[in-house]
Amino acid sequence: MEGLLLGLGLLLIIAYLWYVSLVKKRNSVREALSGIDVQLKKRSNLVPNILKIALKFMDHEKSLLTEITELRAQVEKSYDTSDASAIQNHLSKAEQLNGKMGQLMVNVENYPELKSDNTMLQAMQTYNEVEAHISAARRFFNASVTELNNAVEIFPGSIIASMANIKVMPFYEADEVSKAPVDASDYLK
Amino acid sequence: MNIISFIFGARIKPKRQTKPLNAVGDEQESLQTHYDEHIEPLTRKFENRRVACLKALRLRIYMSIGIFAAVFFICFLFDSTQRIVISWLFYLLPLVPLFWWCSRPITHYQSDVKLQVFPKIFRYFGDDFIFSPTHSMSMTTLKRSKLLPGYDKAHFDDYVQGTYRGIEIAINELALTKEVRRDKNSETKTVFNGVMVQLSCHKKFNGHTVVVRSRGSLMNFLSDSFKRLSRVKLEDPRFEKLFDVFSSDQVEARYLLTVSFMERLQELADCFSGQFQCAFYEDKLLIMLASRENRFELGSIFNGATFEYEFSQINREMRQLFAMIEVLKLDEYTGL
Repeated sequence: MEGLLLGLGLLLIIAYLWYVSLVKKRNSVREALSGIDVQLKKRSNLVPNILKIALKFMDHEKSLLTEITELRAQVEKSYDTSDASAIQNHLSKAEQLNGKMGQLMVNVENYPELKSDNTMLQAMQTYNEVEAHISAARRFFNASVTELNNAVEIFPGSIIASMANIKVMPFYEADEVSKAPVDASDYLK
Repeated sequence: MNIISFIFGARIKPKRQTKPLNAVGDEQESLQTHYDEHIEPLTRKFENRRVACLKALRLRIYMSIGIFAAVFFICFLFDSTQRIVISWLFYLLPLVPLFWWCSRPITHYQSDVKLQVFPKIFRYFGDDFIFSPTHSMSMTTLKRSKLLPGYDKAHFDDYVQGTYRGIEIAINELALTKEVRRDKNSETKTVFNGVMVQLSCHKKFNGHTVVVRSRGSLMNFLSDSFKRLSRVKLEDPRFEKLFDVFSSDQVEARYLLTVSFMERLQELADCFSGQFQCAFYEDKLLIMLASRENRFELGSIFNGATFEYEFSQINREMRQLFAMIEVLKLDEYTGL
């Protein structure tokens, strides 16, 4: 009887420690997510400045600029940090904005006046710096998500996780446009 | 000439030519120009000093042998007539001040070369390059890097500072020792010997990130922190095998250690046989390079004071250190 109680006690302690480690991993993902949001906020603050400068020169890119403004507004919206699908939606919007901004930066090449504008150059440099930080934050987030997902999906963590309502989280992935192969001939015409 | 022929009275005469300058590729010409312009004018003066110094050394060695023989004889007489048991250590005691006295001319000559010739050699790498055998990095700044192992005494040697390809560089030789108790005796153990290289960085950062030699998976399993910095798990398994990264800011550590930067660090670790650790802090990159080699030293006193060997040697050593800037691409705004 004593042995059974001892075994049960040990089992409870192990289950509790497992639970603690799962919660720590979930919190680490939340921390990483907030790190991404800090960087996304920096980018959001920078986007209007770039757009203002770009508007002066890029008359033919109005639709792109409007798209960027809309996406920026969507990225800025608050979301539920414990809801995996809300997070995925938020990150995918952020990635779409990244894609559109990338497109804008490429199109700047077609406007020599804009390209040589000092304010624009400075804004682009700052933008690149923020992008590097976003990329670092993304790596931290994805590393934390991998750890959490492994812990949640592998038995017996899966049982404890379902009891504690800890779910797998989505990765911050590159959008489909970025994944598409680049056709060099498009640029070498 | 060697030490034996020197002691047995070989003629000491000035030498005007030793080894030619030695450099890789097209550097030979610029090396020669700098040598002819800045170093060669000093050689005559220093060659005369070297000859005088060798003559003084030989005279002192002869006198020391005489003094030692006399002291030895007196001690021996006392020992045999007065029946006083004199320890053999007592016989050797006069050797210490005699050795110090004999080596004085050489030490003076060497320190004068380091003070007057070496700064001119280092000007070859840039006008702002300074060399000082006495100046040193701030120990408190180095301690703040969190890279230094536990130590009791620190001994700094040669210090070099300058700018290479827009990157500020400071190099200092450092030896750290620790008193270790073994059985009932305590002995001095060297815990680090090598160079500290401090480089300025284009990337701005506020946190503290260290890249240390891998502590092993068991140690990492037991502890996820290092001197109050938390572990950063990176994606590259090869890098993770070689190094452990700890930082006060997880995002910033990844901002600094991009995938390509990790590749470059591995390349550097291969060059220096893995004896390589670094820290990003206070807007600087500090590299700790363990090595037994004593850098920036003079050649043999028996070689002529033409400083061609020293110039070639320093150039080779500095190129090796500059290669770190090139490998890490610190001079380029790549964003990687």
